[in-house]
Amino acid sequence: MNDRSPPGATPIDDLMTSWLKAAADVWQTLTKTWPAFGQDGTAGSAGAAGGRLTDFLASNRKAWEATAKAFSEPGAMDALLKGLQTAPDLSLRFFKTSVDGFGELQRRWIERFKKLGAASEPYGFTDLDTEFLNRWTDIYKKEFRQFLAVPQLGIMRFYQEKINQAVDKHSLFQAAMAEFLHLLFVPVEKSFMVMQEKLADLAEAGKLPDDSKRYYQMWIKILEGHYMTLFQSSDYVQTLGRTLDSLNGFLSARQEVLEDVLKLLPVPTHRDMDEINREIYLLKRRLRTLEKKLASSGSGPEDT
Amino acid sequence: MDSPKIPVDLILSKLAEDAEKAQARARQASDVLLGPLDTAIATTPYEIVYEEDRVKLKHYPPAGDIKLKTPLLVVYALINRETMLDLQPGRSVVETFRDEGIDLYMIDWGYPTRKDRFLTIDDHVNGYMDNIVDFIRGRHQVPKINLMGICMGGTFSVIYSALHAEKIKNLVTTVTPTNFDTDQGLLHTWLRAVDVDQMVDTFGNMPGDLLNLGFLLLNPARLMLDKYIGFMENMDQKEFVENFIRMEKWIFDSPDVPGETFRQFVKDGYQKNLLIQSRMEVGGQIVHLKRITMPLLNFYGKFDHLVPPEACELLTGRVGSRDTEDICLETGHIGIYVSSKCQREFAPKIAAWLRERDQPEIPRKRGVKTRRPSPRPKAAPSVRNPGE
Repeated sequence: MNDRSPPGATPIDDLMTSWLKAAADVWQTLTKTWPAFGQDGTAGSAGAAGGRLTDFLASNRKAWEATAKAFSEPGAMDALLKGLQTAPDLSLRFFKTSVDGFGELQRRWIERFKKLGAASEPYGFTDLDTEFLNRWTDIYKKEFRQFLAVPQLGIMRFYQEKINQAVDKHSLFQAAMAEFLHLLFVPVEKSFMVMQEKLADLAEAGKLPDDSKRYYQMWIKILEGHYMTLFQSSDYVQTLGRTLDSLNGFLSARQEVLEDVLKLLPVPTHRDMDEINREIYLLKRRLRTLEKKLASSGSGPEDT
Repeated sequence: MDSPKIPVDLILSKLAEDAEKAQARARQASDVLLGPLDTAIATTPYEIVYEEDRVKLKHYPPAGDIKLKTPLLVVYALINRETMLDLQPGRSVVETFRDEGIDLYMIDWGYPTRKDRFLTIDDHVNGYMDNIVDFIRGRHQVPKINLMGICMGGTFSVIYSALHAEKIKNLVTTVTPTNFDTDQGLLHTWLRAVDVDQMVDTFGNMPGDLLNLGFLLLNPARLMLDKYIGFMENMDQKEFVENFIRMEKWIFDSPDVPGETFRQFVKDGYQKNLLIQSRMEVGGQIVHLKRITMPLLNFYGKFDHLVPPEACELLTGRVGSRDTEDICLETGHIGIYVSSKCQREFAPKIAAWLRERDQPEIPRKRGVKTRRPSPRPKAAPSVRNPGE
């Protein structure tokens, strides 16, 4: 509780208020970023150009404001958490972690939104701003992952552990995949920027081509060049490696869970089949070696 | 009056013209796509003369008289399929070889399944390939045969020729990676960063679709976008559509690669570059390139982004043979086999080069010893009497 807290506010209220404030900042920034959205934040002021995006932002803002108003009332959180008071401490920790995590994420979002209007280097691939996407992974790794690593008890503990492991690996794979896909989109984004610059130059020089195909050819050439630059960058190679590693990690963990299920059914698992396949493979190799030895000794029936 | 800087009127009239053309094209394309299309690939007749596990040996008898005494065995890569050499009539390496009077054999590696995951390079080279070479030698009663390798199949052929030099008369390598220490190709850069152990342990065999996705990502702007826009622009032309579909059929027909083979190929090749240094071990033997003493013809593409020239051109300088030749064609990895221009420069050149080196072998004093491997030659199906 701080000095500016309203009378009757609890520490939970403070926590909630700060989170709500951070979230409100997101909408504030969005409002500033999209001029079409209008200063008053109403959909109507956006006009036709605002369209679906403006409507979406307006309705979200309204919904958020209503929620914020309800929760900013002193004691509102107390009421909400009344039922939770009897729950174990773990629930509260989990809730606090969620709030902290989302707070951190929103702070990053705000930074990201602020950058939207900033000038960007069209040809550079050194600062790809994947930090924004890494943020969720960091939060997940630092805060949420530990819940999946809680030691399991009882007869089902091994199975539960494997399921938790699969959930964990899946989350990591999703995060890595998002980062990878973001990276693949960067050249597209940059190629449009370069294209705009080129078109402006051509328009200035009065040399705009009248054939639409020429524009496409210009763009695809720029895009190809950007991809080549990206693919040679260490950022890309590292991200590719991380994505494949996380994919492998997830598939292995999922396989572990599947094998447990298959064991309950009369279905052989990969592990069972691999053991048999390996034995057959080794037997065939031995047979081949013996055959060749026999043939080279001159006593083989197949000598010609 | 000065003309405006932005010729809006011209741009708009051109757009209207394009829209009309697109409409007409769509009408015509619908007739083409809904009508009969000849998109069959690998139509040159052949017979299966040998089978072992999933591996088959195709035999293409010459169209006319046999002009080369020594038969030619073509070894394709484990990635994609050998049908690329016979994509369509008029653009078929197989057809050209047949017309040149070459008795042609080609390995069809088939589709590896989970049971094949333990097969190593040794099993492919000293196992399947050696059995097939012995089979052909026995069938033709010759001590040596000609060997031609393509891409990874070329690498296998180089290894085979070093380990079994006494069975190979002439060696032809095409777009064959032997020096992996290069940054010219993205594949070389990427595969150095991949944890291949983890990949193979996870997947067993390397999924063909995953490899294909990797190849598409080498140039997404062209291979995933521009290519299909090109198709849309020409889909009213029947011949273009047929050729395009043939290529699509081939390119996405991607067998999985046996896991242990992939592991060794990436580790010993892309990550340690052992082959070109004569330090690679296969089947307990070091592959010494100096043991390649037969004539060697080495083809590669100047614009090959998968196996760049730097990955191919060192080989001729490292082998023991004095009769070597490098030929760099101005094309890419696949163009070397399918482009109209290369149809004149590639297969006919190989045929002529082999013809010049087709003199009979001097018989050994103790006689030629060939061995027919145990796996059965494909026999004509017999009809069994149910009462038997």
